[in-house]
Amino acid sequence: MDKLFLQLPIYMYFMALVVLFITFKEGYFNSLVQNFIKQFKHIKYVVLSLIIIILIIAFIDKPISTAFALHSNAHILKITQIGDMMGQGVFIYSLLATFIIICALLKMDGKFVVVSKCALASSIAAGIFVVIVKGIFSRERPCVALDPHHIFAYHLAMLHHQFGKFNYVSFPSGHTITMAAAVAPFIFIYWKTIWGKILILLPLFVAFSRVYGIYHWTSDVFTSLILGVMFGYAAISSKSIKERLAK
Amino acid sequence: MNSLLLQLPIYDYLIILCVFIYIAKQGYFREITENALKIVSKNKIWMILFVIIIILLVCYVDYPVSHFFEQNRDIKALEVIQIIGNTIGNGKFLYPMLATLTVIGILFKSDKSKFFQTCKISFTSCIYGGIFVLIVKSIVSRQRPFVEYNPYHFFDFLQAVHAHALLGFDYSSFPSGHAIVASSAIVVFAYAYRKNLLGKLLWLYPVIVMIARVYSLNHWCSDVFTGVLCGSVIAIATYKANAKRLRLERFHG
Repeated sequence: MDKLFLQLPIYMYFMALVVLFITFKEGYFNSLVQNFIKQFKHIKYVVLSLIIIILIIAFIDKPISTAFALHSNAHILKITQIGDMMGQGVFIYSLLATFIIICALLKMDGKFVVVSKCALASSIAAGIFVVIVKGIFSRERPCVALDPHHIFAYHLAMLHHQFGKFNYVSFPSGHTITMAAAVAPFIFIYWKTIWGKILILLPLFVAFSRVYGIYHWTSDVFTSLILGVMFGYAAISSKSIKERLAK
Repeated sequence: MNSLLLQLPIYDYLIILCVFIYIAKQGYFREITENALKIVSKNKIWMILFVIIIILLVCYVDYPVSHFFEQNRDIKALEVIQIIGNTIGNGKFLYPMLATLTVIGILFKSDKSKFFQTCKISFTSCIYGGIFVLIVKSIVSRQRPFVEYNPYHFFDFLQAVHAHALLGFDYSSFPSGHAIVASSAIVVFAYAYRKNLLGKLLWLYPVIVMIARVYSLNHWCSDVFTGVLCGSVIAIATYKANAKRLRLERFHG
């Protein structure tokens, strides 16, 4: 399955780069960051989210990850591998880029194309954001040690020569934020249709897969879901995008 | 190099399919067969000469050349040519490359320019060459040199059935698919840019593929010669069928 979806030849990188350039040129990245920051003005929700994250770290992270570490089912693990694959940036970016290219080739230029470009912009922005935040928090993954309090664990990372590497970049989940940011614009625009509601399952499935595989703590994926949705909303809330969607 | 150039994920197949639909919809595939037949009938003497050369190659050149390469496997320059030629002549390299160039042209809205039009013509020719070679290979069913050093095993259906390899790789030597696909794609560029030095240099491309295929013992000399010949006819026929598009561009330009 990896060969079919994740091993990209050089052509795909070129095409994805051109799609990214076109999306950038058409203004899909304009005021995305400002719109994202604006959402932090809703202090009530921000504080509530922070409290929930802290409570998850304190009371939920360890029991859930310990339970999954001790009692994992081989069949469920196989299913969660699909979730792991779907959350990879290579999968999401390629899928969206392919879709945008196919629409250009078949001369389709509707609302769906605009939303796809928003999804690409939002997931790319989320991808860049998560790389920075992961490095700052430097949280130890549950697969290394089942202690959820190892946040800002620079000394441990240095000790094991793993600073900035896979084992010490647990918070927040990159897979979940990329998927949530890619799916959120579709959910917001197509909320009234059944497909819009079904799409919610995708980031939740990726989040579950990451926790079940003990790659992430529950608080990592919860934070990513919130941030991903915020990025998705930021991507569709600029004036020019709203005008395009109204057409 | 193979994973970078030849391992295609599902997205690439989808894009190639859509580029094919896009090009077919614009009528790039029209009149190619008629033009190819015209070229053959107009150059009857040349065609007879080529057929004689192919027969002479089968009789006097195929065996000695393949046998020589089999005996001398450590020619370093040819080792390099083998790796490059087998990659650049592969359909998995040429189709996505041309599809990518076509997509880039469309996304940048400059697909009417001479270069991107030539890319589309080249992609058309490449597809046509690929389909043509599949049909001819399965009819001729010639044994490859690495299976047995006997260049006269044409229409070898019985042995192919016996070896459970009917229409398989071992019995589809004539003509060379790599040579036909490479020449049908590149000759379009060489023909379109024939006044430039780069256009003239492009003729080296099918030559490299020819050497690589014979040196790697995948083909006889006659296979690659026929491949390049058929590929060139297809390329020129496709170019002529779509030349009006380039003239139109020049007129507007």
